[in-house]
Amino acid sequence: MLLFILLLNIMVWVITVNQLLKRIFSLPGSMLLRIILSIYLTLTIFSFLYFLSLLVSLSIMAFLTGIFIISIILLSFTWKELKKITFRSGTGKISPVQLLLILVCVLAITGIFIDVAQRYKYGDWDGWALWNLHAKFLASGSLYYRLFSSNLAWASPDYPLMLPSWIAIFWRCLGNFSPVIPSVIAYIVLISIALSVFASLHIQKQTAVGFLFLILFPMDHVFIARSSTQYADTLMALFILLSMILFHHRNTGDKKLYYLLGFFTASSAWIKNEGILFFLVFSFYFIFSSWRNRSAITRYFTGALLPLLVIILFKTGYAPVNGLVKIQSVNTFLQVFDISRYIKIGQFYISLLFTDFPVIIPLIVTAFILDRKYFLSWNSIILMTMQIGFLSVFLFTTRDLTWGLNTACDRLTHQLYPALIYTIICSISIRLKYLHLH
Amino acid sequence: MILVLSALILTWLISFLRGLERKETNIDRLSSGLYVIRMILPESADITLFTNMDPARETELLAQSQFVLAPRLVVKDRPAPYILLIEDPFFPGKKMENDRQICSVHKNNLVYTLLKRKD
Repeated sequence: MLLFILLLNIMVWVITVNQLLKRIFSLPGSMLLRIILSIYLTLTIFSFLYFLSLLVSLSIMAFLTGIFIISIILLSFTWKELKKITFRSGTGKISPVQLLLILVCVLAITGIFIDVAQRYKYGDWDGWALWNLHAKFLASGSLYYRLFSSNLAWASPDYPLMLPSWIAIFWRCLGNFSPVIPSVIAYIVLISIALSVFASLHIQKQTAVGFLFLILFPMDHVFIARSSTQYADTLMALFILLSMILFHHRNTGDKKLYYLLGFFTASSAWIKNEGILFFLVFSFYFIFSSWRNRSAITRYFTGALLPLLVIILFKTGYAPVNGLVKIQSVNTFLQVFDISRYIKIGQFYISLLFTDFPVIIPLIVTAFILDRKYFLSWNSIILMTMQIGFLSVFLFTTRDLTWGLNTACDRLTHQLYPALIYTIICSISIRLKYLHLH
Repeated sequence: MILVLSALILTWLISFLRGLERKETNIDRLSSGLYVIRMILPESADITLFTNMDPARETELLAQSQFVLAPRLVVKDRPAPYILLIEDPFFPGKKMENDRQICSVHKNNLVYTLLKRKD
């Protein structure tokens, strides 16, 4: 019964939020992207509200009642528009043949996901020992605070709580700790990545390129396998991708889009600690690129306000100090001058690109041939800074460097991978369109 | 055709998820062994874990026990009100003479014993 109420709430929220987003982002063909944004905007707000409900010891019924009341309020704002909805959306709609092709691609991705996810009933090691473990504590209600005990230092209790809170909400409503929930969430996030890229390219009238991406996506077994491990890295990849998509569309939509951009960028810090770096890097370059547009910057940070408040509350009031930060000393900073570390990190990273991310090198070469301006674009600079930032972490680790690279480098690159492919594809397709016209 | 494909995707997913739920893993076997102990132990309990196995296996069991028993806290190097002893019966057992045994379960080739620490 509680699960039914939750699903009903999610449905009402997504429909009404989608209608509200239509006021600020109504380009032809943008329905699919708006639905994806609505789903993750809804779930992210649910995550914040659930965490806050734990702090004030609200029962799950009170939490569901609260979000139901908010959904009624949202419905009242959008009721008149909802009454006029038809399923024919005019120009930019997807034809039945195109919808068929999308479903075939989704079927292929589903098949591969099912094949690899069978190994991970409770996720890979960090899946059950970390993310699903955190979810269990959050699902326990009044005993959530035991997650932050010093006895659980090995389980990284400083990690943000978006994914665990989603799992916890469903577990609490279901009444048991079914392994189905984290697996379904992992699947939905994976499909969302594929469809988000397609949706954005469809808006840019690059539907053929979007279909090419969807057809090739299932061939990336490594990415799909990593997505099935139930780690938060794929969710992080999705939010970085959505942020880059919104950034790409910022000049084509309503100025209120900047609120959404700020919200998604800041919310990435609620997924993993790397999201804090992403928010800082993105914000820095956003301010730099938009310094003449003060209203855009104001809207961006206003959108980021709610996520930032929740994250600051969590980090200052509940999360212990991060293990990596805690053990820093003068000696670890002296590692910056050790050239052998740079060589080792560089060799490992390049080898990783060839083995686990074989698409990146050919794409970068293609971009270099067709559109060198991509490497001077804000998209490229943001993602390159992020990658350098991630690799720099290995300079300061006190643990064995080889162990650190083997266990984390692939996951960090995984987070940037979809956004990198998306931005390069956008750049190349725009360039090819320009060359075709001229 | 669209409906057929959608139905196929859904059917495939549901079948996979059902199979996943029925699948038995090490965590499921541990959970089965700790079932009675979970019924007895309050959710706010702290438990010290002891085993008679090698350190690597002990570390794995600590993490898995923590996942199964959460929100109870499972610790290794700190005395707690309760003690969970997980033993491989083929190896010498640990003597816990000073503590009161509450229950013992032999399941899936492991012996799970819950004790209350005598203060």
